[in-house]
Amino acid sequence: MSASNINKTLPPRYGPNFKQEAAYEHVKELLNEILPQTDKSQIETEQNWRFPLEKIREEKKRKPKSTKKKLLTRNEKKKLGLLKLPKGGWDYSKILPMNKIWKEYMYENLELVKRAPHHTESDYNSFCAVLNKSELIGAEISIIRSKVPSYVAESKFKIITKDACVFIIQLRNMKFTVYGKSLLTRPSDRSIKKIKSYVFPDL
Amino acid sequence: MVKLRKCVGKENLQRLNYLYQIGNIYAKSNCKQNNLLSSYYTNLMISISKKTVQRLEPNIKRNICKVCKNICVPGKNCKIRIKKQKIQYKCNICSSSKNYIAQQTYLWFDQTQSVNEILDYSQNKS
Ligand SMILES: [Zn+2]
Repeated sequence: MSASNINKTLPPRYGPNFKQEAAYEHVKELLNEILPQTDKSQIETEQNWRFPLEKIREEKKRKPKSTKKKLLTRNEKKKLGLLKLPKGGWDYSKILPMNKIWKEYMYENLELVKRAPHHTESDYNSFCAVLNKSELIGAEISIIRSKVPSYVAESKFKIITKDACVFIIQLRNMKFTVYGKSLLTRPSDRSIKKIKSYVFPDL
Repeated sequence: MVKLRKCVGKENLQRLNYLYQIGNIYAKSNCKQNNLLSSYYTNLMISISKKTVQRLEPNIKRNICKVCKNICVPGKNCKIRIKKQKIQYKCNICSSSKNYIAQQTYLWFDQTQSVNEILDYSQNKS
């Protein structure tokens, strides 16, 4: 073994899983050849051998950063206008076909047998719960009573406050009266919320 | 007329169904306002299904674009290609894409053992 061999790859007996004692001996052999005569005496006396690169080898590799694509954040959605519908510029005749589907859906949903149950019957409470949980997009609704008198019996496209109104929902030959107070929740929350069977009739 | 046993949360399922139907009408048109309507309805549908803990059917869920929440109607709204045994849906509006494995019985939903009970309400119509 000579100094010119240092840069070459190690022989197979010094492969990746050879023991630490063998490593010490290998280095001692190497030093015996390279060092001048005057320094050779220090090889044995130097007890604490240091291998500065040893620690780096044992360290675990860092996990690569996750490359998952992020979806739109809430601020980006707000900029694109996905959260709220525009207030103006609707064509009523284009939205009208929705009403045809709504009638079919509602009739099937309420499981009506030609008429709605009277408030003295036993079905009444469960019927009200189903009506509360049903969807009102596409329904034909008119206002019969309101704190703002100009709202009543108006045919205009307008955004109103639901709190101070009483609505009538029309379905075939039936009419349902709904207080605006019960519609004040978020549309998705209405599916889980339980309603009171009796609401104090206050405008 | 036979009165069937009531299915749990039937009114919620029917609400989801209705929202999907009206969302489908407006997804087909190229008008930007109508696309907003469609994405608004699907957003409502997703939030209702989360809150009532009733999961959407996998085929319906796959039809919804994950970024702009539009319903994908192939040929009008989105592109569908098969690449390396995977189906790729590409949305035309926001140009995002998603891949699924093209195998017939890959999902548990598609296998015949997964069906437990069928309630048929179609005879109840009057
Ligand atoms: Zn999209």
